[in-house]
Parts: sequence; structure tokens; C-alpha cells
Amino acid sequence: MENIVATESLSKKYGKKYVVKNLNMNVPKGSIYGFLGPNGAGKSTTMKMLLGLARQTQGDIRIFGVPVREENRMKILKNTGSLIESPAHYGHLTGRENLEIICTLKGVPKTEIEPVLRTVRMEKQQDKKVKNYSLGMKQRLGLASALLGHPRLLLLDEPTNGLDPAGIQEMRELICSLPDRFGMTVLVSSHLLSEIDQMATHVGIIHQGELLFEGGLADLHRHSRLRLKVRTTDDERAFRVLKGADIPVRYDRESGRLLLDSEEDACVLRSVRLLAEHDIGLLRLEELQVSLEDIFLKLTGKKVSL
Amino acid sequence: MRTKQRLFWAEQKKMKRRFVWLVPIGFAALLMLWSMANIRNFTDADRAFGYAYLFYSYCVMNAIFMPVMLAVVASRLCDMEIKGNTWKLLYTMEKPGSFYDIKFFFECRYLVCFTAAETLGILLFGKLFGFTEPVQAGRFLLHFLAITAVGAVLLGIQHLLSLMSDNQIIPLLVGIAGGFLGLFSMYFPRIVNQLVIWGYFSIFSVAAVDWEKTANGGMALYYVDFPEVQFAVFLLAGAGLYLAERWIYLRKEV
Amino acid sequence: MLIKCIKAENMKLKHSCIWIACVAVPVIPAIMGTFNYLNNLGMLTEGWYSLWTQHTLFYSWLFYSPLIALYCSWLWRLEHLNHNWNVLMTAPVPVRDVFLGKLAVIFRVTLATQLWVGVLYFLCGKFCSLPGMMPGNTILWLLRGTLAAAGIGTLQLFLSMMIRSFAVPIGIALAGSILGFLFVSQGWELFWPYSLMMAGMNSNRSDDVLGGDILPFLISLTVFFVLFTAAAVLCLKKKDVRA
Repeated sequence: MENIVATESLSKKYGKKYVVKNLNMNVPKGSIYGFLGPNGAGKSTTMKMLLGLARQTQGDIRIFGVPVREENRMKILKNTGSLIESPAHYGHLTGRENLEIICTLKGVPKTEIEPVLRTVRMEKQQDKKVKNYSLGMKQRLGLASALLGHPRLLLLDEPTNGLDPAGIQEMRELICSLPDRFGMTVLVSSHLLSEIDQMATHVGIIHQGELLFEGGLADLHRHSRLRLKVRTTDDERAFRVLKGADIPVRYDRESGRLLLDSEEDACVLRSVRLLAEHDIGLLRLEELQVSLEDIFLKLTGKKVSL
Repeated sequence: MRTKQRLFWAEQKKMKRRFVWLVPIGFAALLMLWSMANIRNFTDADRAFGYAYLFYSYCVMNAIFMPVMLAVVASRLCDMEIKGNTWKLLYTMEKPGSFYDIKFFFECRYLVCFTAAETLGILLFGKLFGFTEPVQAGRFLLHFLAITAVGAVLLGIQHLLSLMSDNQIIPLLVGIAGGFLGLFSMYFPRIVNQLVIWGYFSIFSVAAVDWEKTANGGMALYYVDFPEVQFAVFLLAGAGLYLAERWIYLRKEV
Repeated sequence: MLIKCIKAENMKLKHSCIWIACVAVPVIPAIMGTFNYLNNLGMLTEGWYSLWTQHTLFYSWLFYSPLIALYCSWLWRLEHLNHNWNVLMTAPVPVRDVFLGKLAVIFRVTLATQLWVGVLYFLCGKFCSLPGMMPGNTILWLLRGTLAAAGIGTLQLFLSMMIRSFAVPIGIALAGSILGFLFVSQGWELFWPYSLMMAGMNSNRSDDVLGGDILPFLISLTVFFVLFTAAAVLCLKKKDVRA
């Protein structure tokens, strides 16, 4: 699959501290790439480097297959929409006038304003001065200006910040619909795992500037399948018996936990029968969910807000 | 009293990395440079009236420098609250009135820094270039008091405008326009001069030029009797103005 | 591309108070200069030319540059606030045009200011019952003063871009203007951007400072313009954007 964004050992140093370190990131075409990490992990810095707003200390970035360099700057920016950090706006102008400025700079006809305003549900507030907008409205306006001109790539930095629950839901649905409706590729950052889980097709997890995991959302979920915790009258013997019968089982001597890495009914049934045959008494059978949070925690060693 | 102290230190912390001292120091340095260019060409006759000359010329220079300089100082200190949108935070912690006063006090420090540097500069130049005119400490003190008082009244105006204006264009505009008005008003009859607050540097100038006697050769300078009563009235009016400004500010909603 | 930038910058000027400055400030020298002229008719005997010096001496020496600085600060303050740097620098236009677009707008506002000064000068002249039209020379000087804004405007636009404070660049402009007088008095007015105004406007005497030869003036302007534009564009290209 073609990658819209690809970075190679991308690094950014502020002073002596690496904010982004050896980042190899690949955003496939037509995907919604969830860029996940706690606050201050280097998400915004990475996105700024992708846009040429900040210059990398080392490493390469390719967007649309061409390197991010001065001579390609225009070509890349023309096909990119972005919403970085907080939404940008000119407070003394109305929402519509703000969009008109973006239209002019992007060379997009003003007739496009109406549809994007409708997309972000801002038709009614368009003639109000932006300094009187609420944070949520500013965020929508920011998204509207990113959407102007149907860019091929959309970079959204924590787009649900400041939105109310209904707004978050709407924003999610909107983002999810973009690849199909307009053929866009979306790179969306968030510190909320649940949010990425609901939107993204691909995930990159960044922590302290390093990419800890990258892959499809399904890959991430494979880590999070169900397991069963088994307690018997003799766990050690039970482990040997089940292992000998090729049942996916693990035994952690320290915690004394016997884990069954499967939730298939047939497998459970066979295990119970085997235990009974060897006169091992089954005391408890407990469902254990390794959630995405646990994986995230294991990867980053840091608690994320949910 | 303890809250006042806390407010003082809070304000002091905000000054970190703002480099506001550079503003009065820079303008004072410019003032020195400017007078240096003139004093270099002094004749003996000029040196006999050296201090009077500096007192007078600094009044003109103050009218040019101070309005914009004070606008810059006030804007630099107040704008951080506007940019950071800190009103709501501040008002839950401090009384708006004391916030207004403390901020003004801090701005005054930069004013005094400038006026003190200017007054000492006159003395320094006198010694450096061997003025033959005797030093009259009273005149120096009056000069210092007068320019500081006028500066403080102008600063009060800038302080209010900077706190009230979102985009800072109005306070700076008033600073520029005020300097313009003040400078022009000095060349007007005293009655007009008295109408322009930015022109009061010359009203309270300790030295003046007798234009009648001023021939092509040099300026005829003389010391004026300091208008004490008028100065007292000015101080009272200034204090009243400050209270009025404070009142306007307190009516503003956050 | 440049046209797009200029259009966008023009839109940002809507509902702004920059026009108040443009209208209000020139009124002060007009009124006060005229009264000063009328009060000193004994000494000021050159009619239109005397009125010209009264109008423009303080204006071009001390207040023209801070006024342009005010315009520049305002234009950049828009970008310094509310993360607008991000939008500005991700717009698909060359970096050079971002700066030149702003400069064009500054130039437009300055031109309006100068036109207004000219109109006021004419009206005040008529008020003082000076005969005939204002001399053609003064129109030329107004034009030269506007051109001088290209030098100062570029410098101030550069300063306001680098310094995030609204007020500090204006303070610098005043300081620069005051120093400018020293340059003028030495005859070095073409080597200091802030004294170009005085040279251009010819405000401290009635015969031409430049002696009719405008070429050195234009060269000086061009050098300053290229110098400061290059510096600004280089900074825009090399520095990380801090929104």
C-alpha cells in the first residue's frame, strides 16, 4: 500500500533534549491514522515538522512521495489541510471572513465556504465575530478551514479538544466519513485511547518522542483478546497437562497465575475435561480482559486519561 | 499588608524575562547621546549656563521621549495579561483595585529609573565637560520632581488605556499623538500649553529661554521661579485623575 | 501568488482601528503647524514653503516612523495571537510573498496617510489664504516621503515579526527617528533608514536637501528594502514557527 506520509529516523532536539527521536512513521493512503500519546509526547512537534513549521534535527520526511523540502513546500501544502495546536483565527473578523482569507490563500473559490460550514454545522454562527465564539466553535471553524479545498491529507491535532460530548461524537463521525467521501487520508492525534479506538484504522503510539507501536488497529486489538484465569487444586501440574495437550496456556510462577490464552468454547471445554481426567479439581475460571489501556500502559509505562 | 506583599512578589515574578529595564535605560542612553552631540560644541559662555541649558533642553526631549516610552512600558506590562487572558484567574485571587495599583506602581519604577538617570546625567555632564555654572541642588530636585510628576500622570493614562484595550493600538496611538501635541504645544502661548497635558514638561521647567533676547549667537537662558502653587494643584488634579481612571477600570467587566 | 497574499492581508484590515491612526495623527501637525505658522508670520515669509516646514518638520522627523511602526505591529500582532502563525505558514504560498504581501498593505496604508497629509496641507494653506495651488515640489516631496516608507516599513515589519511585543518596535522606531536627526545634521541621511523620511519630505528647509538628484535616495531605499526583506525571508524560512 502506498504511504501518504513516511518518515525515516525523524528526530527533533530542543537544546540537549530529544522531543522526537528516530521516528519511523508510515501513514497509508486512505487511512485514518491515530497518533496516540500522552501530553508532551511529541505529537504536536511531529505534526509541525510534517508541515514544515518546525525543522527536524535529522531524518527525512516524505509526503505524497516527495521529500519535505523548500522546493516541494508549495506542492505539499496545497494538498494538505491542518489544524495544529489550538485553532487559529482572527478574532476581530467573523467566522466567514476568516474562511474567506483561507480561501484566498489556498486559491479556492468562495463557493466552497458554504459546504464546509454545513459539514461542521456552523452555518448559523458564521457572521459572528470569532472572538465571541466558544472554544468548541473555534475548533469547528479550525476544522472548516482545514477542510477547505478538499486536501488529500488532513492533519488534525487533538481535534476534539473543547468540544462537548455531542460535538465529540459529531467530530468523530465526520472524521470517519472523510476517507470515503473525499478520499482523504487523515492523521489525527489524541491522548485519548478510546477516541482513537473509535476512529482510527491505523495506530501509532508515541511516548517521550519514540514510536512504541505502529500498525493496524486490528493488530493492536489482537493484543487485547480475552484470556481466562484458571485456578485449580494443583496449578503446576495442570499447566504441564494442558501444555502437553497443545492448549495455549501460560504459567507465571511468581504470581502463581495460570492463564488460558483462548476464549473459544471448544478449547475451554477440552481443558476442563482434561483436568477432570487427571483428577485436578477446578476451583475457579475467570475471564480476564487485557484492555487497550493495559497495552498502552505496558507500552508507555504511563497512565493515560480516558 | 501581607496581601500587598504577596501581590508585589507575584508581579515581580511576572517581570522575569521581559527585559523591561531596557526600555528606560535605552531611552536614557539615547538622551545622553543626544546631549553629548550638543555639549561637545559648547563655548565658555555656554558652559556658564550649562545646567540651565540642559534643564531646558531636557524638557523638550522629555516631551518627545516620555509619552511613547511610557506607552511602551505600560503596554509591555499590561499586555501580558491580555495575551495570556489572565483576567479571570487574577480576579479570583486579587482585588481588582489592588491589582490596578500594584501594576501602576511597577510601571512607575521604570519611570523613576528614567527620570533619575536623566537628572543624574545632567550633573554628570556638568562635571565631565567642566560647566562653570555652580550646582544648585534645589533646582536638580525640582527638575526631578517635576518630570517625575508629569510622567506619572501620563503613565496613569497609558496604564488605563493599556488595560482596557484588547489590541494595544489605542494606547500606543495616544502615546504617539500625545508626544506630538506636547511637543507642538511648547511653541504655543502658555495658555494653550496649559491645555495639553503632554506639554506640562515645559510648564514646570526650571529653566526657560528668553526668545526676545535670543540673538543669532546663543540662547538667552534664565531660571524661572518654580510655580509651586500650580505644581501643587497639578499634583492634586493628577491624583484625582488617577482615581477617576481607577474607577473607570473597576467598572469594566471581566 | 503575491496578489493572493495582498488580498488576504487586505481582508484582515477589515473592522480594524488602524484607520483611526491613519486619520487622526496627521490632523495634529496640520492644526498646530498652521497656528504656529499664523503666529510667526513675521519670521516665516516663504508662504507655502514656510507652511510646509511647519506641517512636516516634527511629523517626518519624529512621528512618521512610529506611525508606520504602529501599522506594522498591528499587522503582525494578528499573527502572534491565536496561533495564526500556523495558518500563515501552512498556506500554499511562497514565504517571500507572505512578507511582501504584508509590506504591500503597509505601503497602502502609508500612501493613504500621506495623501491625507497632502489634503490637509492644501486645506490649511487655503485657510491661511495662501495664493494659488500648493507648489509642485511639495507634491514630489510627499511622494518621496511615501517611498521612504518602503525602507522604514520593511525594517519595522521585520522587527515586529521578530519581536512579539506590540509596543517595543514602536519605541525602537521613535529612538531610531531621534537618532535620525543626528544623521541628517551630519549630512548622512541616506545611511540611516529612519532619516530617509526627513530627506524625502524635505521638511527642515525650503530648498531641496537632495539637491534635485533623487538617484542616491532611491539607491539607499533599494538597499535597505532588499536588506531587510532578505533578512525577514531568511528568518521565516530558517526559524521554527512558534505559534
